[in-house]
Amino acid sequence: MNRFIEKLKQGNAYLYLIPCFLIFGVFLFYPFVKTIYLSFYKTDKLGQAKLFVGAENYTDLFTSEAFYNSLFVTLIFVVIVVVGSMLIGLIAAVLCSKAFPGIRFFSTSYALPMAIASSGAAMIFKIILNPTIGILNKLTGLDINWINDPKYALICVAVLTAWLNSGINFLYFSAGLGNIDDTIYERASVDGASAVQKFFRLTLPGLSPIMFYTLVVNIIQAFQSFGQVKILTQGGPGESTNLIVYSIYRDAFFNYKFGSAAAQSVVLFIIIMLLTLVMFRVEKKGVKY
Amino acid sequence: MSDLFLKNVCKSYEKKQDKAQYAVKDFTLKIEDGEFVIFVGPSGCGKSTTLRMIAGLEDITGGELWIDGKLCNYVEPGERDLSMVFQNYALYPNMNVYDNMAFSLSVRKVPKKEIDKKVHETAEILGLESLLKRRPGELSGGQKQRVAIGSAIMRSPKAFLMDEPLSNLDAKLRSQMRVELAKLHESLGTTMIYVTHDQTEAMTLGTKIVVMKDGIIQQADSPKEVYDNPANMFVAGFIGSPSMNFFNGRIRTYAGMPVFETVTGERLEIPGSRGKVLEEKYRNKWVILGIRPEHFLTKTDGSGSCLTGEITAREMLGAESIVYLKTAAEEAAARVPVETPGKPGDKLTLSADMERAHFFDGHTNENIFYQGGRQ
Ligand SMILES: Nc1ncnc2c1ncn2[C@@H]1O[C@H](COP(=O)(O)OP(=O)(O)OP(=O)(O)O)[C@@H](O)[C@H]1O
Ligand SMILES: [Mg+2]
Repeated sequence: MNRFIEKLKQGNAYLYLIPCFLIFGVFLFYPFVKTIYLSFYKTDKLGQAKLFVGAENYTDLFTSEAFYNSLFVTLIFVVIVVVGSMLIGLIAAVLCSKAFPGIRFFSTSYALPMAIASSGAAMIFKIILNPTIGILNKLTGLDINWINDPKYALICVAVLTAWLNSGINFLYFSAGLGNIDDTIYERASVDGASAVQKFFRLTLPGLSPIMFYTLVVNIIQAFQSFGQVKILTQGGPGESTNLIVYSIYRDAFFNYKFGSAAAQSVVLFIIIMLLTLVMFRVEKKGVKY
Repeated sequence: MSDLFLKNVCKSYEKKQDKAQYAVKDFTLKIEDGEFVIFVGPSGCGKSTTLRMIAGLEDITGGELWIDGKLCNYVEPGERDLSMVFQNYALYPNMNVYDNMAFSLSVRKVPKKEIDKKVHETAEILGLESLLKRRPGELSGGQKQRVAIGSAIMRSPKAFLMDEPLSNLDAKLRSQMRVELAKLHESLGTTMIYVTHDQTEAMTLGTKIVVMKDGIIQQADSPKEVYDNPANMFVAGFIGSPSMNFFNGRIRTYAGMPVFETVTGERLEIPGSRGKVLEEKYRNKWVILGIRPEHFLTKTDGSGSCLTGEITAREMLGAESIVYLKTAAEEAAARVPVETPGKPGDKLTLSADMERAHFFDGHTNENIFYQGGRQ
């Protein structure tokens, strides 16, 4: 103990990092390394590595129709979710940037999706989208089996996810709007700019630093959506909502192909990493202030 | 090219009307086409607020604003066709200087070529050509201010509104810009409303000076009138640098002549008809005598209007000096030729030019001899 205190006194700052590294190590570094390790093995039902197969898991993946489908579905899903959630968040934030009676109520409502568990929201959507008793069909007078029609299932899951993710975007954008100096809007009014011109020439550029950050976070978040797929569609109908994350889950815990699941995880990791790198590269080149 | 008329304009920031505190109160002012109107007054007296109401950025609590014979209380800022320089510049941080200056034209869909020409012309006047590619974050305060002025003068609006546009420039640049603004006003003939703290700017640029205090107009008149014929003690003290010297005292008759007697008993003869009037109306009543520093003479011809005091400080202004005297009654500042002898601690006797002295009522502080005012 004395020696420990001695060390602290000597300013051995690294000691302070130990708790942090412990947590990272157990929950991040170990699973990460283990996943890469597993992706080169065939496993038994308990997920223990049994047979070293080299890159076979990967070659299997890249020759499988289902995997490409998964990639494609994920791509569409991510695009809809990112665009949707950022638009909802942005519009809500712009609406709430002016003071008006009841602003607190609206701000809370717009930020609320952040606090809702994805599976809970999915349960509610399941009822809303139910073809016979669902309120959506009742209200619109349509007769669509939203969740069981391959045409609509992906869109439904994506819209739900967009709404869920919009809460945090609302907060980011609200903060970003708060950082824009009000007097530039006053000057723009005197200069004769319309509301639309103000939005596109002042508000959007003013949000650009936070916009980038939000984009990165949203893309990563969208790639990792799971709960809503699990509850709402279980990857179906057919393979139409089989996102990579869901496919990983299915391979690992239904088909007990942990090796294949691990390989897919690694591929997903590489995709997200590359995307993030590219975005940071682009950001550096882009004009900022 | 237009005239403005503000009629009993009031502004209160309080929500509840009953115990309203007015930032601007009963502001009535007629501004003719082509005038260069200067708002002056101590900090917080409502100059910016008035300007912002004219621009449409602040709701008008009460009263009417007429621009070109049209009631404009509820017209959107963009439709009033005014151009404004903000006290804090309000440059668009995401645009470079060029785009900042071009903004008001480009939102009006003016052809690119025309804008380009205009930007370069304006930038040349203001010495900004080398900065056109910079962003506001990369400019000094004075450069920002010039960009703000440049952005405002790109258009030919009905009127320019400028809120302390030169406050951050160094003395040389400031006088240069002053000349540019005067030239601009002369060549465009556009109505200007201009807020400043700078006496020189107010006196040299303005065709009309509006002196404000606590949201109320004290006097609105030509620079010469405001200087020579101030409406009250506040205006007299506010305009002019160093400011006017004030002495408390009473009007007495001494040796058959009307005199002003300070509280400590010094007597200053009041010549001419003004003496007669004062003697009639204010005998033995409290009045305040105001003498500008430049209305002290160093040659004391023995006339009955001399003040003696001890020099407490002396400032060299180049051609002239300012001496600060401690007379028996009050502290006084006098503008005297440099060659006047005397250093701090010495006694100095000066004679006051009583023809040009001002007299203010001891209770109301109004100028007793104030002649109307054009308004
Ligand atoms: N948004 C506001 N809310 C409440 N009071 C305000 C607001 N803006 C200004 N005021 C008050 O109105 C009065 C006039 O302010 P204004 O900005 O017009 O002063 P000013 O004459 O421009 O002063 P300065 O020379 O310092 O710029 C001040 O007492 C100020 O505190
Ligand atoms: Mg001001």
